[in-house]
Amino acid sequence: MPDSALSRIERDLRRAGVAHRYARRAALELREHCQDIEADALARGCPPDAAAREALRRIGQVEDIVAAAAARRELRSLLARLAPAAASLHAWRLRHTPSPAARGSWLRWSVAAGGGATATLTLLAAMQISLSLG
Amino acid sequence: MAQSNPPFMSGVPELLVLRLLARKEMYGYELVKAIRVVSEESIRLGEGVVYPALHALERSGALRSRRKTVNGRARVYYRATAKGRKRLAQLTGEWKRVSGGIRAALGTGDA
Repeated sequence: MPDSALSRIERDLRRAGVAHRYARRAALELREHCQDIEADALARGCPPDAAAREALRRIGQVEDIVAAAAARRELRSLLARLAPAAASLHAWRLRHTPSPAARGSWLRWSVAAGGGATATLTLLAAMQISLSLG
Repeated sequence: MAQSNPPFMSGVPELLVLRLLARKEMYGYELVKAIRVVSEESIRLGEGVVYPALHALERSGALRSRRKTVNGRARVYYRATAKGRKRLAQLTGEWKRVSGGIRAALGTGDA
């Protein structure tokens, strides 16, 4: 399998929310898998280009591999797992934070807005840390 | 090549993977070949999709992996853990119950 195809798989897996270490491992193991298919085909007497084509055919579509990995919750990065929670929290904060004009309570608005913002920022910081750790 | 039917096949690859890796430590390519043999070629998956399944099973504690060099080739070998064997027993029971029900239904339909 060409390195460009493997890089594409790793990149697409990461874009689909798969944790970096699993994306890297998948690309590495797929490379070894293709080498095994090609070695078997060459041993059967296939020419090198036919062996390479057989490896690509048998490994399947990149989209299928990415979809299979993205469907596995266990393989998602912390960022991918936290993103829906952060979005929900932000939506909840928007719904439940009263405006000072409507409620007339500056203190109540400040506490609610501050608490919601702190929680959102904490989640975003955790996501940033997960990104930097890979 | 990829003739999988994900909704219907749900759980089947996991069952086969655990069954084979409970018997013997294998690497991905070896495992795919073993699946083809034990299923008498009736189950054919795009071979690349076995890796997400292996990684997810490992993440859940059902498999353990290690990198091992054999004949100059470094490969990732997988084996079932105690948790994986427990999961295998559970999946086997579920599959036998479902297949028994289908067999009974087909038998009734043919009569």
